[in-house]
Amino acid sequence: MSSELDIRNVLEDIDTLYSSHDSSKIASVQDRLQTYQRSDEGYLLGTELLKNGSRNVKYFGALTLTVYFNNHDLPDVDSPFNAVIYNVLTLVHEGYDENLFIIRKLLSNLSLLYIKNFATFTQDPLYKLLAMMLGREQPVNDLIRGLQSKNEVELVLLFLSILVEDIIKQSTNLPELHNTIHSTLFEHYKLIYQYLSTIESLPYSTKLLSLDCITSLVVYIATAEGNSTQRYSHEDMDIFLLYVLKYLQDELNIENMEIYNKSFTVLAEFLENIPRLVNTFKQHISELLFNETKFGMKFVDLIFTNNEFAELYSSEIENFVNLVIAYLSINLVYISRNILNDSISNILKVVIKLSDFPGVPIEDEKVSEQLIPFWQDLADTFIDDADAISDIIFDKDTLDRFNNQKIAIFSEISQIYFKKAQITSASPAKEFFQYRTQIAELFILFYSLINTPIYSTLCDIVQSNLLIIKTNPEAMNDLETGLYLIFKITDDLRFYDDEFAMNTLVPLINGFFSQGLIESIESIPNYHNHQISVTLLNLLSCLHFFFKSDTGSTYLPSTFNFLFSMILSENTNPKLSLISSRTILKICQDSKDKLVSFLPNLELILIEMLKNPRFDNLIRERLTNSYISIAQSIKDPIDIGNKIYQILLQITEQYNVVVNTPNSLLTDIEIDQYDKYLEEYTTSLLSCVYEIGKAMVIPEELEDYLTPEQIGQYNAYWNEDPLSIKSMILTTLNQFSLQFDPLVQKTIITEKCCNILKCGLSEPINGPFKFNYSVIFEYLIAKIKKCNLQSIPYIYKLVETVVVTNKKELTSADIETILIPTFSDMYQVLESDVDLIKSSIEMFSTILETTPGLILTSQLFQDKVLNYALIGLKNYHETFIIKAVVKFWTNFVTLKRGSQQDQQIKNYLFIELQIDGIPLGYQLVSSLMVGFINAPRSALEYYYPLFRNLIGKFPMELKNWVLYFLENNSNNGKVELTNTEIQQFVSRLMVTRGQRVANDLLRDYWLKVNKLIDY
Amino acid sequence: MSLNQIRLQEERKQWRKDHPFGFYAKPMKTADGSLDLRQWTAGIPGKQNTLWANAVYPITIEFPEEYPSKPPKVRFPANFFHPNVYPSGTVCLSILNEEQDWRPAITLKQIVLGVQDLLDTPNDESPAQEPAYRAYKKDRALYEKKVKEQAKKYASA
Repeated sequence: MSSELDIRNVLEDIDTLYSSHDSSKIASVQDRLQTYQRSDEGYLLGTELLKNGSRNVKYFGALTLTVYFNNHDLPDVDSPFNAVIYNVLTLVHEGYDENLFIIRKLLSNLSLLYIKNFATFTQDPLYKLLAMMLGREQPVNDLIRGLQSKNEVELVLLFLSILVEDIIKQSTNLPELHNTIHSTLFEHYKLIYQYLSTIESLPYSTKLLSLDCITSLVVYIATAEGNSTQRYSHEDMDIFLLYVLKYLQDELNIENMEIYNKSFTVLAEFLENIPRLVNTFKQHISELLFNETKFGMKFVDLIFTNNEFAELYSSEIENFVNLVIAYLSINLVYISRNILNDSISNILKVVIKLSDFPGVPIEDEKVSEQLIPFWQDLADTFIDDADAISDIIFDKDTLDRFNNQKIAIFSEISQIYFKKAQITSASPAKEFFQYRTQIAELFILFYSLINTPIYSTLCDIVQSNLLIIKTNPEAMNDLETGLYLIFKITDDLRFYDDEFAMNTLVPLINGFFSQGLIESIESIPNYHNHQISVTLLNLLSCLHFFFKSDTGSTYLPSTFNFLFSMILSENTNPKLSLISSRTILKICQDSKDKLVSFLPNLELILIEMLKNPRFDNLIRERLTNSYISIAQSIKDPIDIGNKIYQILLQITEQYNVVVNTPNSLLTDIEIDQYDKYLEEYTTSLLSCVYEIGKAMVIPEELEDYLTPEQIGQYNAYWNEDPLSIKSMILTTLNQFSLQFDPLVQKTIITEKCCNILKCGLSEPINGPFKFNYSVIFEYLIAKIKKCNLQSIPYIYKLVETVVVTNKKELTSADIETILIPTFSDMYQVLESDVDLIKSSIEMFSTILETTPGLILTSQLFQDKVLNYALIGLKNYHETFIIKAVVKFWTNFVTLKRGSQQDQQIKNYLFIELQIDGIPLGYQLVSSLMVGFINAPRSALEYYYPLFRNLIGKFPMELKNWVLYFLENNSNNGKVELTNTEIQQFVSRLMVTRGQRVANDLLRDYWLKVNKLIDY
Repeated sequence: MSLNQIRLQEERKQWRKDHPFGFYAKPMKTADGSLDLRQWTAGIPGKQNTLWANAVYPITIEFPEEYPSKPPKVRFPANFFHPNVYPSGTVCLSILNEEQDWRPAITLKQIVLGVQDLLDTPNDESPAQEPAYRAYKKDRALYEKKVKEQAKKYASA
């Protein structure tokens, strides 16, 4: 060994690696050792270490060989292969069991050498192992028959299973290897099992290993068949199936549990991975599992009669159930079509019995959970196969019997899982809730299969338990479970058909509401945090169709009482309060006309919520929306005006309290977090104004919603605005966002204010939030002077909305009025922030897209905006800026909504307008080319539309503009193009006439000048 | 049955057998009550101890006809507040992009877990909406406030 690789140093390092607790030391030692392992001397080092007395060192030696073999191509594979076998045999000789972990690693080295070099392997690897182990050269068959000791047999089994497992792990596909394995090693596999089958009493450990080895083979075959053309046949596999099945004989002996367990695994692997190779044994397996006198049923009897056994062998039971499921899963169609057949009926009885495994699910038993996917698959099969069934069964009586049997099966299963879904523990594990969701999914499927009867049964359960709940507290579990499953099924329904909901579901739901559902639950002590309240809350959230009906609307008072008690009680979990408020909002929006009588009560609650900062902000905002949604349904502008006025008045009062006597709102503790509390509270007050605005939006087509007379009343009332509500709203905005210093610089306040001003812009008639654009501009001009930078994009977005919604009324002068203070005066600030560049460019882009005439002729546009947009195009490569700037220029080039005069102005600007002494067209192409050439590959597509539109709109000029740029900037990019190449590119570009092919041409150009290739 | 349907059946089967805690995913029902395997609804729980906790965020998953050669489109509700969610609600995630990391072997489970991961670890290399991206980069307090408000909106029990 070289001095660098002094074996003593390596040994010391290995010792440190296995003994040190110092992670940095371990890391440096690991680095050093890995370098040795990867070096050309790795092989010698590994061999040397294998001679050491310490097992850890030997293992490290084996590992070193792995690293070496992985990193080196060997000119001669035979000698290292033989050397590794020699080491394996030495270790076996020194002590098989103690050295097993090293032996495994060395066998893995053999498989590695084989997999890497199988094409040039001169001899069969198993033959080599056998020949060296037995010390003679004979045909493999004879060598296998010559295996004498347990260790010899196990070594062969171990090698075979390691080899196939290692092949599976290969990341590269090796079809030739799969062919070779089939013709060589697989034959030996069969010989070994033929040999093992002849031995009367194999050692226990050998039996276990032999079963594991078949598992590896089965998984390998599935992989090999998936990755190559190699196929295995029944004849190939019979020997292995027979071998496994012999371990599952009729007599059940607990001492063989581990063998049974492995056998379950092997059979399940067969059924799941290569089911076609099990076809000839299907009947045999069915008998084995479901015949009363055979193994399976004895096993089932044992687990149901012996609790101790069931507890002790839970994992074996799971494996058995997996096997049952694997068998049934490949026969689903057969089972579903033959439920009238006694043998199938018998099989299903067994599975039903297993589903009803005793004990609390998740806590005591997992079998019922394991079987849920099976029942789901079976239900799916019935659903998918329904048409075929009616074709197969002609006889009506038989079809009726078939359908009755189907319903009977699923009714029995639903009863079992209904019980299983009950919450019996005071604090169930979260896994139980997951399990419960799976059961709900099962019921949803059963509903698809059986329809209304299952829904009706659940409603009956709820109804009957409500009758006895006062005298029988245990009825609570049934009641809660029933409500839970009704919730889950209802929540999954899509109401394409209102008639069905009204005629079928509403009466069923009414059945249990009429038994005092809400009152019964409210009578439970501390019901706010009881699971049944959560369930009821969830159910109420999906019953909007019920409350919309005349029948359901009679329960709105009690429902609202319950929901508000969940919000207002101090005992309620905050999450439940939030869900309650969401449910209230949903009901109010859906059934607003049925809730008018609640307005006085709602108003009291809302006013209290507005006054009290301790209410959750989102709940306060939702309630505001709910209240106004109902008020709006009256369609009386005077009444609505009064109600809005009251809320705004309260908000204004609260604002005054916040500004003048804030401490009166807070407790001592909260005063410590003064800023946080008051900022959130005041923001929420402003959000309530926004909620009023949202709730006031006309919810459908105006003509469908209001009569012409009502429209007249609305317009008249809001034109007059006798309560000065519009003015109140503007005052509120001014107070919150311009006068109250703690909020003035808050982005969220600007956002809310802009949203409030946006609410009425698209409204078809006058309303409280319908402001003239000049009022909005006036506010924005004031606001932009008193806001933080992050607020500016919201201001620009509002300008865009004003332009889109008021395009007919706006004049160039109006636009200039808003743009000079919000853009021109801010120019330098905008340039400092990419987000602001993007937002401002988008604003101009929208104006160009909507009504270009508003800005085309303005000095501001010609002097500043265009130059600004040129810089944006040339200098920025953030995707979002590229998109915005390219869209701006594309809108400008096309002017889709421009008049003929606008087009003429545009053409004039492109050709005549001088920017820095150069015409705009040249400047644009120069910026575009620089931006494009330097853009990242992923951004190229964003530039294409601009090129294509330029070709389309300026076919004559563009050629000169591009040529001018390229000829004067031929070194732009990484490759300098010749004059001919430039001419060719430009000519070809122009020939495209702006069609899609231009994209490819541009991409090729970009690749060329950036010295990149396409991929 | 088309390759697309076979694969989606398998995804459904696998999901039933094994899906991450707190998530749900199921195909939508059509007007006749049958399932449309190419349109799914799903729920993504926010990870505990993050701003997104205590809520389940609804998404729709739309599998194209070319699936699994092409990735599904995942959508939150419109205007969902997240830097990598477009205003339309479409999620911008490399494993959902045919030209980036999509592979036909990616499972439904991996997709929803990827979306859950994305919630609390936005990718500032691919912004998809302005408000959330801007707040995330420049005003973290505002970002956190809005995410918390959104979590309350989707609170679940």
